[in-house]
Order: sequence, then C-alpha cells, then structure tokens
Amino acid sequence: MTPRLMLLLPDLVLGLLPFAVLAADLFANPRHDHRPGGRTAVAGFVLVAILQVLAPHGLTETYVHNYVIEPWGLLFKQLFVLCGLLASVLSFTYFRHGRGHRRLSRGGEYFALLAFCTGGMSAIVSANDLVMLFVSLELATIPLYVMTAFYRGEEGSSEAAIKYIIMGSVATALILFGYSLIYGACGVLHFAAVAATPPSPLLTAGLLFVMAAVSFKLAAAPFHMWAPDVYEGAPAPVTAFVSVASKAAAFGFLLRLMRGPFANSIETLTPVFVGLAILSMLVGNLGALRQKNFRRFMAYSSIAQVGYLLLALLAPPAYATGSILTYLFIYTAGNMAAFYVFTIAAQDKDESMDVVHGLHARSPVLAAVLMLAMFSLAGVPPLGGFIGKIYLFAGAAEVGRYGLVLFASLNSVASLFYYMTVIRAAYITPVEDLTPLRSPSRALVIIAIVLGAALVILGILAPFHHAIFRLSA
Amino acid sequence: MSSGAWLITLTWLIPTATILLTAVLPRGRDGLVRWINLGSTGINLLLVAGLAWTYAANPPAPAAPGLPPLAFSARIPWFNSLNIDYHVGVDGISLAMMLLAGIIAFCGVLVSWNIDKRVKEFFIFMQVLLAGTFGCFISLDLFTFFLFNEVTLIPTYLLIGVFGSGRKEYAAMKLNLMLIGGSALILTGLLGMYFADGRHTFNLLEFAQQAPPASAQHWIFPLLFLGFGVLGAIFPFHTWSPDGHSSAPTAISMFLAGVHMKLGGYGCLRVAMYLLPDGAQEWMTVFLVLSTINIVHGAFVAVKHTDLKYINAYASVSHCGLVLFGFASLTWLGLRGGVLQMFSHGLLTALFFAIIGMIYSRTHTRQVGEMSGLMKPMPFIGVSFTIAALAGLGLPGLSGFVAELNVFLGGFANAAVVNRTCTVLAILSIVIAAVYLLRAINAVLNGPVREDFAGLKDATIQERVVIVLLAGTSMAMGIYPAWIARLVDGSVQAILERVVHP
Repeated sequence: MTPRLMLLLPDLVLGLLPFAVLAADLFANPRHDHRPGGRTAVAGFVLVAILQVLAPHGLTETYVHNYVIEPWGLLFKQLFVLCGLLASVLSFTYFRHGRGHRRLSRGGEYFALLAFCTGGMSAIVSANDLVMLFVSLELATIPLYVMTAFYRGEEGSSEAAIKYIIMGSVATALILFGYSLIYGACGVLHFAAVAATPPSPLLTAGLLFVMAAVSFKLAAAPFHMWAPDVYEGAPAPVTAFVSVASKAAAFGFLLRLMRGPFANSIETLTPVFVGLAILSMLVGNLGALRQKNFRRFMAYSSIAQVGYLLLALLAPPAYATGSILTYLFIYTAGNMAAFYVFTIAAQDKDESMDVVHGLHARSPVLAAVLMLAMFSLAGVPPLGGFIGKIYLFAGAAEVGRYGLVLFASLNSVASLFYYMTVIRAAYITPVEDLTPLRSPSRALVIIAIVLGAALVILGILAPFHHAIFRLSA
Repeated sequence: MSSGAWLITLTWLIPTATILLTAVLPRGRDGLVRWINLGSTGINLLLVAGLAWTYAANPPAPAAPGLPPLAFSARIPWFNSLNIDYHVGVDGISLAMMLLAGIIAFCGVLVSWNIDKRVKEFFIFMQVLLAGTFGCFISLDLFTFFLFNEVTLIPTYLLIGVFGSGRKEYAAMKLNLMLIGGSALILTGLLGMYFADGRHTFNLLEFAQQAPPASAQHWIFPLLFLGFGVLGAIFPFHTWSPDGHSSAPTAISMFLAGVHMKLGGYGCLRVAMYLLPDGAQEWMTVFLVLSTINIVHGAFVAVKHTDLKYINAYASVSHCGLVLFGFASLTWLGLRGGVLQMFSHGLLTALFFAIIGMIYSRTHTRQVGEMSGLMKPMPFIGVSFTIAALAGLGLPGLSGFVAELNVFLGGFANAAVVNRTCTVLAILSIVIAAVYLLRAINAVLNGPVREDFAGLKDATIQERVVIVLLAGTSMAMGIYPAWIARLVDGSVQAILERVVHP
C-alpha cells in the first residue's frame, strides 16, 4: 500500500461511513432502535482515527486535481473525527429509546448525518478549488440543521433549527455571491490559478463576502445571533458537536484560503479580523455574565473563544495554523468535558446551572473534571487553555499588536468571573439533596475523566504542541 | 539537571507530592492530613534554610558582568515554539524570599491546626499556593515565572471564598480579578520583551546582559512595574488588599500578606528594574510618588479603622509601599532596604496576623473597642502583640528598624528634590503608624479586664512555636542583621550595577 493511498484511506473510509451506518440501521436492527447505527458510527470513527494516526504525516498529496491533503489538513481531520467520536458516544447514551422527550426516532439517520457532517468537514480542509470548497462547506452544514431539529415535537428544537437554517442559508447566499465576484476577478475556480491573480478591489469585495459567511459559521460577533438559540434548542450532543466542530471547520476553511489562493490578499483582511475579534470578545464575555442556562452560557463562551482564536490569524500563516490547531484541540477537550459532565448531571432534566449544585459531594470526580474544564477555558495554568491562549496572544504580539494583546488578556480576566460561577455552583453553593450521582453509562464518566486528564497533560507536556507546530509549517 | 537544581525544584515538587498524597486520603483522616502537611512544610523549611546557609557561606561569583550571583541553576527546554525553558536558579534575594516563604508556610500550617471543615481541600489549595510561590522565586525564565505566578491566583480565590469570614466572596472575587488584571499587564509586557527586537527569548539572563532597545523599554517598563505593582498593592490598585487579607482565614492572611505581596516587589525588582534599566530611570519618579502615597495613605486609613485585621491590612499596604519606595530611590541603600523590608515586613505582618487570629479565636471579636485588658489572662499573647506592633513602628532591636533605616537613608541619598521630599513624608508616616499601633495596643491589652475575657486561655504549644519562630527570626535580623545582609548583598549589588550604570 503506497503512502499516497495510506494518506487518502481515512477519508475514503469516512466517506463510506454514513452508508455503513444506514445499512446497519436498515438491515441489522432487530429492535428498531438507534443502537446498531450508533455502534457502527462509533466503530467507524475509531477505525478512521486509527487510520489517520497510521497515515504518513509529513506528506502533501493531490488527488484528482481537486482534493489535496496537507500535513496541517490531516491534523484538522483528526480533530474533526475526534469531535465526531465524542459526540456519537454522547448521543448513544443520551437518546434512550422511548423514554420521555428523549425519544429518538430514526436513530440511524442521526448517526449517518453526524458521519456525513464529519466527512464534509474533512473535505473542507482538502479542497483545491472554489466549487469543492463550497460543496464541502454545505455538506458540513446542512446535516447540522437536521440534527438540531431532532427533538421531534419539541418546539424549542424546531424553532432553533428554523433559525439555524434561515440564517445559514443567508450565509450560503453570501458565500456564493462572494465566489461570483472572485470568479469575476480571476476567471478561474482552481486555487492555483486564483493564487496567481493579482489583488484587485473586486477580489477584495468577494473576499469580504466570504468572510461574512465564515463569520456566521464561526458565530463571531456581529454574526453570532443564531448561536445562543441554536445551542439552547438543539439536543445536547448536537450542541456539543456544533460548539467544537463547526468552529474548527470554519477555521479550517479560513486557513485553507489564507494559505492557498489568498496568501497575497490577506493583509487587506487584517482590519476585518481585528474588528471581529474585538467584537466577539466583548459580546461573548458580556453575554455570558448573566446566563442561567448552561447551553446559552456555553454559546456566549464559544463566541468569546472565537475572539481569541481570531487573534492568531494576524500572525504569519505557519504560526497561525499551529497556534489555532493547538488551541482547538485543547478547546475541544475542555468544551466536551463540560458538556459530558452537565449531561451526566442533568439526567432527564433541562441543563440549567442548578443541576451541578452540590456536585462536589454527589460526584467528586465529575466536579473535578468540570473544574478543570472551566479553568482550562478561562486560561488558568497549569492547564492546557493557558498555554493555548499564550500561543494565540503571541501570534498577535508578533506583529506588534500589543494593544490587542492587552485587550484580550483583560477579557480573559473578565471571563474568569463567569467560568467561576459554574465552579461556585458545583463546589460552594449549598444544597440539601446530596444523593450520589449515578451516570447512565460508565463510558461517559471514563471519557470525561480522560478529557480532564488531557487538559492537565496538554498544559504541562510539550511534545504534542511541538508536533502540531512542526506539521503546520 | 544538576543536583543543586533538583534541590531547588524540590521546593515546589514537595508541595505537589503533598497535594497528591492528601488528595488520595479518604475523608475523615483529618489528623493525618494535618501532620502530613506539617511535615511537608517542615521539610521544605529545612531544605530552604540549608540552601540559604550553603549560599551565604560561599556566595558564588556572577558568571558574567551584569548577571546576578546564581547558584543551583539548570535549564531544560520546554515549549520550544515560544522558546520557553524550565530555567531555574537562585541568588541571595530569591533565597531570602524562599526562606521567608518556608517559615510562614510552616507557621501557617500550625496556625490552621483547628480548622475542622473540609480540611483536605484547605490544605490542598494551600499547597498549590505554596508550590506556585516557590516556583516563582526559583524561575529564571520570564514565562515560567509568569506561569507560576498565575498558578497561585486560583487557590487564593478558593481559599478566601470558601474558608474566609466576613464578606468573603466579594473580597475573594475582587482580589482575584484585580490580581489577574495585573497579570494581564505583565503578560503584555513579557510578550513585548519577547518580540521587542526580534530576540525571541524569555531568558532572564540574556536580557540581563543586553537590555531591549530604549524605545521598547519606554512602554514595557510601566506595564511590567504596574502589573507587578498591583500584586504589591501599589496605589491606586491596592484596594484588593484590605478586603482580601481581612476576609481570609488566618494562615492565608499570613501567607498572602507575608509572601505573596512580596512577589510583586520581587517582580518589580528582578524583572522590571533589572532588565529594563533605561525604562526604570525614565519612569521612577512616577512610581516614587505612587509608593509615597501608599505609605502615607495606608497609614492614615489604618488610623480610621477599628477592626484589627483591617488595621494590619492597611499597615501592610503602607509598609509594602516602603518596599517599592526603597526600589524607587535607585540607590544602594534604597535597593538593599527594599529587599530587607520585604523580608522583615513579611515576618512581622505574618506574626501580627497570627496573633490577631489567636485573639479572635478566643474573644470572637476583632473590634478594638470591644476588647480590653487582655494582657492579664493572656500574657504570652499580649507580649507578642506588643512586640509585633512595636516592630511595625520600627523599634530598634527588631527587623523593622534595620529595613526602614536602609530605606530612608537610601531615599535621602538620592539628591533629587522629589526624592528627598518624599523621604521626609515617608519618615513622618512613622508618627501616624505610632497612632494606630499604640492605640491598638492600649485598647486591646491595657485597661480593665472584661468579665467574659477573664477566663481566656493563653497560647497553646503550636501557637507558641509560631510566635517564637516569627518573632525570633525578626529579632535575629534586628539585633544581628549581618547574616541576612550577607545573603542578599551580592545580588543587590548586581542589580544596582545594571540599574544605575546601564
């Protein structure tokens, strides 16, 4: 098996995975529930992850002229598959067949959509022309609309999905309009040729439209309006997946453009990045201060995190890729750990902050994981979030933007306040009912513990970061 | 890593091991938890005392001109992408601070012997605070220094917010947000130094030999000095200190006011002034005025308060102003005085907070007006209270006098009019200190014994050990200061040469 094929194999398997899930759901499903589909999805994601680890990491290969796998792209794909794996394990336990409003009809389709979404995200970072980029972006987004609506009959879920699809369609329209302007400026769609075109106002205008659409995907302010409602209405595993994977996909999209066709025009976008970053940090931090619902809280927290990530785009592309990837991995661990703990603690209830009251006595391990996750998101050493944020701020400092670094650090300070409210709820707020917490599934607790440990390890040991930076060059 | 470097790394590895050991103990073994933590801080204290002794007996020479006389140093690459190393080493000033931290940590565990709720968590958070503090003092890489500083901030919040008294949650949140805000300033300054002339290093020694360009120093210095100054309670960012220290449990008040605030002074000296001498020369007048306001304002506000802890907290603000005041004078005696004041005031404020804690646990009040005649039932505590208060006044024979003498002489040695005026003002603040301290002594100790106070018990054996250790060290420094001077002189000399003759 040649290295060229080994590099493509994970994507091939990932592309076939949705169909395998559907097949298992149709033909190997005696009890007509979501379990065979779910098991196939989890097994498939694990298989793809193994193949990705075994793939040759330093190689850049182009397939059929339109699909290119680069070393940093492979890292993004690993991140997407990790998100998909974590989300599918969470979904598997979350939707218990026929219990209350968590009933999941057509469960197999759910996992197939998750796999389609992950496949689409993988294709985003491999696109080599504008059409491929657009198609993969749609493949990565449309399943999310459907998954958001999966609580059939529950109004909040359908409402969130309608908001998501309407605003998402506007974003799609903006992208297509931007692409048409770019095509008008360049006359070609293939990246290599677009890169050769000299910058022009038409090209810049097209880029601005594309940036607006990407900002929607990222939930960067002022395009963030959909995020709190969608995060609140969607099923919890979908929210967890959207909060990490769609951000990573959007950054993959941006980096693909920045490192490929638009490497020359990127200076024109610097004020845009700065403006988006400042607004996102402000909106996210101010918005999260008053939230009582965990989902909306995480939505605003994600908006602020996107603000910090956007700072890294000001640095040279190689460093920007490395720092963004490092922070995305750490952010995934932190966010997913928080969602896992809240889901286990909430059981059948809604996830307001009350569900973690007294968690330190009801389940000390889960409370510790939640504390680690919140501190990592706030950027407290010796956890991963701290060194991750330092990498991002150093990116802005490298190009002399010290005012931005100060602004971002102060925002990080302010964010500590609201992350602490979660920890206060778990550790300090007194509560009468101290019955021990039993998780519906042992696997969820084990994964939560592993994620918590990962946050500590990523903050102390450096080899993981070095590998990412080395491959991002 | 050389064996010496392992020894100084042990100062924060021992607390880390204690944390793990305490965490795995089952609930209900509180007695074992206390003894383990006492043993750990005791071992740490012996280790640091031994290191300081070895260093003072044979002070090493600086490796190159401009460098401090370092010992036990080692350097391991850590986060290569930003050239961050685990670079450690100690000189006289670091060892003096570590000795202070070791003493106060040991005393803090003894003072906390009677805590009975959530004992495990209390000692775990305290050990995290200790690990971070020791890590700060041994770091020679600016980023590692910053990282250890940040590590200390969260346990501070948890310790005050969970185990404190009074308006504890408000005080904890205010303290935490202001200190982390200060560290946001520090981070910006550090990144500025990293990228300033494309040097891409966080190595303190490299900056010591060649400072960043003056244009960069012009904006980096105020950021760093102000950021560290927030930690050292510089005016007007000192407001976290009175509420924070007064709401904290006794041991944590001792450690925060005694050692943690000194991290600010240490950072100002070692990072801001040492590495950015041009910036120091340029901006020092501003910080001189601010620290003078600290001294005078802190003293005046302390006069107004009637809660013993608040009196001591504002007295700490005032005396920590003396530290920065000494540094701001940019003279040999001033710098040495600032370092000596860091050591002396650490001991004295810890002693005072410990005694206040002892009094509070017996009388259940901290209000000066509600106590009287405590000298009769509790002579040991009463005498110690007097010693602590008079030492704060600068009574000769105790460490306060030695430090303040150096600071004032150094302040006056700088011939600028501003410096001399501020020195006079600072000296006059001793009068104000006399007001609040003597008034406190009189109100608390003298006068008729209250009915319900007549049967109060005097100090227990743990408390006597604490008082003797702290007061004894202070007296040792006050009566024969040569041992501490010999420890820090070489290092202060190295810093003075960089700052005054850049």
